[in-house]
Amino acid sequence: QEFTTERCWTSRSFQILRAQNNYYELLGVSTESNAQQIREAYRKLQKKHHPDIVGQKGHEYTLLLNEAYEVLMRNDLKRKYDESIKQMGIAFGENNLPLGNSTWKGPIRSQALFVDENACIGCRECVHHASNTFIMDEARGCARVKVQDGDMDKNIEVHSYTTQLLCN
Amino acid sequence: MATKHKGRAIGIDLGTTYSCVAAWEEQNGRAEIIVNDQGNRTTPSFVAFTDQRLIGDAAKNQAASNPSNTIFDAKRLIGRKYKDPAIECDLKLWPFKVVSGADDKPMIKVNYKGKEKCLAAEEISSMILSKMKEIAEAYLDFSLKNAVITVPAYFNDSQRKATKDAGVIAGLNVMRIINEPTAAALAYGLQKRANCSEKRNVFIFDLGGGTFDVSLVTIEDGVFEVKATAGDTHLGGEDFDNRMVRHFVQEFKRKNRVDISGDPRALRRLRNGCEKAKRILSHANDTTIEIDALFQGIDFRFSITRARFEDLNRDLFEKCMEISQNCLDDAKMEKREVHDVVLVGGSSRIPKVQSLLEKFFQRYNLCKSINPDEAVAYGAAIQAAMLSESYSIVPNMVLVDVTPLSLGIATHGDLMGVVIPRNTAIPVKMDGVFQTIEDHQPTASFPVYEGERTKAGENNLLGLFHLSGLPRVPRGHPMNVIFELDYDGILKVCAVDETTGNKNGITITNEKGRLSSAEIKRMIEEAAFFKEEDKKFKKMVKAKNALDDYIYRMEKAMKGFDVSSKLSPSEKETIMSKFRKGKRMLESEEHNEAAVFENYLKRLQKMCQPIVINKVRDYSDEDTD
Repeated sequence: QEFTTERCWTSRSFQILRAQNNYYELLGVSTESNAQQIREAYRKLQKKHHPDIVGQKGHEYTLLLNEAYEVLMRNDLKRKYDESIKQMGIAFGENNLPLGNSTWKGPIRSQALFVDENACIGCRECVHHASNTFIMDEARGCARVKVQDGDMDKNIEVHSYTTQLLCN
Repeated sequence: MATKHKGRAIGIDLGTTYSCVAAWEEQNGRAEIIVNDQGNRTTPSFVAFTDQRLIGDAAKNQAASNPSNTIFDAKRLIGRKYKDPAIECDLKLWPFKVVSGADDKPMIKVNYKGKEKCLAAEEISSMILSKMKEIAEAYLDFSLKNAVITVPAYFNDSQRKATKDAGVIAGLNVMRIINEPTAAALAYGLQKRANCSEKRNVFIFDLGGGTFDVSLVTIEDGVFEVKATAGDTHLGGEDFDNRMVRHFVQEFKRKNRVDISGDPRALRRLRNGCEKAKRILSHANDTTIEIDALFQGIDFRFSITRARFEDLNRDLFEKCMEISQNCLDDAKMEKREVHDVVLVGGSSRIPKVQSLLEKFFQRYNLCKSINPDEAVAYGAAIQAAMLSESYSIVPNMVLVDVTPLSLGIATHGDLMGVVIPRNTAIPVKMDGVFQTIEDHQPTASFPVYEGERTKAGENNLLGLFHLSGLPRVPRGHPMNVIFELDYDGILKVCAVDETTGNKNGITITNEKGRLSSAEIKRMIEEAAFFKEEDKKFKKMVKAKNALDDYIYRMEKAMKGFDVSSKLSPSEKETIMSKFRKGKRMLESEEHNEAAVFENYLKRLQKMCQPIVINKVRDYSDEDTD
C-alpha cells in the first residue's frame, strides 16, 4: 500500500501539447480540411508506412499517424488542439507564422524537422549553418523550423524525424 | 516483426470446437481452404489418448467410447487460471480431469499408454496446430514454418501469448496473432472487393463454438480500420449445447428417475446428440434425439422444438445483442450507418440469432455470402501472405486494428488508472501522470493491468515494476508513465521521474502463469516424443497388418492345394502351429513393437519358402522384398 500511486491525469491533450510536429503537417492537410480529406490522407499514408509493408521502421511513424488521426477526427479533441496551436501561435506571433506550420520545399517526405524548445539554448548555430531551414524566434529565445528541407541534408544533422534536432 | 518473413505461410483458425487452415494461392489471387485427410474443410479441435494419440476427426469419432481421455475445449482453458470463474462451470461438465498445477495453471490429466500424464492447455492446442500444419504440408507438398494464428478479439494478453506459445511448441513461427473478426473482415474485403473502393462500415458478428466477438470495421480503398471491438470469450455453440444437455439430463431424470450426470460416457453421447439436434433445428422446426441404451440400458428418446431451444438460450442470445450495442456505442456509430452485417462462425446460423440481429439493425439483408466456418482462416491466410516475402502478388490491403481491452496502472485503493483506453488504434503511445500518496515516499510501484473493471484486482495483471530513488518530497510528487503498444501486441511500460531523470520500465513478455522458455523447450521435446510415438504406432499397425495378411493368405493356400508333395504332415503341422502362434500374437496386447511382428513375418516367410516358390509366387512377390 505504501508504495502505490494516485492517478493525476491521463489524456491525449498531454500529447497534443508535447507533440512538436504539427498534426496537420504530418498528415499533409490544411487546417481547413474536412473529415473526408483527413481520412483520405490518413489512408494514403497508412498504405505507405504500415509496418506490414515497410517493417519495424514504420512503427514510429504510424504511431504518430494514429495519434494525429484520432485527434483530428474527433471534434472535441480537434477543437482543443486547434485552440492550443492558436495560443502557441500567439506566443510566437513575432514572426507572423502560425506555430509549427513550417512549409515544405519539394515533395512531402516522411521525415520532418523540429526544434526541441526545452533543449535549445538559443545559440543560433543552426540558423547560421542552415538559414533556409531555421529561423530564430526572438520572443522565445529558441530556434524554429521555417522550411522543411530548405537546405542540403549535410547542413542539417538529422538523425531521424523523431530525434529532436538539438540546437547547440 | 523486423522485416518480412522468408518462406511461404499459412493462416490457421484455431477454434474452440473446430479448426481450419488456409493458404494464399498466388495464381488465383485468393486463399484456399485446405481439406484434411478425411476430406473435411474443418477439423475438430479434439485430441484423444489411448494406446496411441489421435487428433481431429479420429479423436472426435471415438469420444463416446473414451470420454475421460478425449480432450476438447482447450481454448477455453488456454491462458486462464484454474480458479477463473469463467471455467468453474466447465470444470464440472468436462468428462476429462483438470487439476491445478504450478501458479494455479490448469493442467489436463490424461492416460496415455497406461501412464498418467499432465498436459497444459498450450500442449493440447499445439497438437491441434501441428495437425493443421501437417494438413497444409500434405496439400502444399513442402514443409512449412510460418503461420498466422487467429484468436478471439476479446482474448486478453495472457490468452494471446499462450496461443503463441502453443504455436512455438507445434514448431511454427507465429508471424502474427490476429483477431478473428478482423480476419473475417479481410476475407469479406477480398471477396467483395468490387464494392470496397468506397467507404463501407461493416459489422462483423462472429458467434463461434466457444467465443463471441463483434467488430466494427471501416473499409475504404483497401484500408481496414477497426473502429471498435467487443465480445465474450466464453459464449458460443458449446454453451448452447450445455444448456440442452442440462435440460435433457433433468428430463431424463424426471421420466426415468435416474441421474446420468455422473456418467461421462452417457454425457458425451448425449452431448453429441444435442450438437446434432442444434444443427437440425437451424432448418427444421423440431427434431428427436434418439440414443439407444444411454444409461443402465434405458433408451433415450426426446424431441425438442426450435422454440424450446430458443427459450433455453434466450438470455445468451440477448447477451449477444447487448454486446453488439456496446460495440456500436464504442465506435460512436448509428445502426443505420452500418452498410453490411457479416455473419461469421457456425452458431451465426441459428435462426433466432439472425432474426434478433435483423430486428436490432432493422434490416433484412444480413450478409451470408461468405462461408461462416471458413472466413476466419481465409482472412488469416491473406494476412500471412502479406507478412511473407515469398508472394509477389498479394492484395493491396492494410489492417489497422485496435486494442480490445483498456491498459493501465493500479492506483491507490486498487483503482484502475487507464492510460490506453480500449478501442485505440495500434500502434499507440500514450502517457499519464501518476503521483505519490505518502510524504517522502521512496519508491512507487506500478502494477500494469488490462481490463474494463474499475477495481484493478479484477482485471488481468500483466506485470509489475518499481521506480525507486524518489526525492524526499511531500506527497503528490508526479511521475510520468508511458505506455507503448506495437503491432505485435508487445507492450512496453516506462515510468520517469522528471525531476531526477530516474527511469524504470518493463516490456510485458513473461508474466506469471505463462510458460517459461525452459518449459517451452521441454514441451517441444515432448511434442517430438509424441510424434515419434505416433510414428511408431503407425509402423506397428502396418507390420501387424502385413503379418495378418500373410497368415491369412498362406492358410488359404495350404488348404487350397495338395501340399503333401512338398511337405510332410509333421512339417505342415509345424507351419500351422506357427500360424496359430502368429494369430495369438496379433490378438494379444502384449507386443507393441513393430519389430516383433516384422521379425515373425520374416521367419514365417522363410519357413514357407518351399511351397511359395511353386504355387503362390504371384501372391508373395510383393511381400518378400
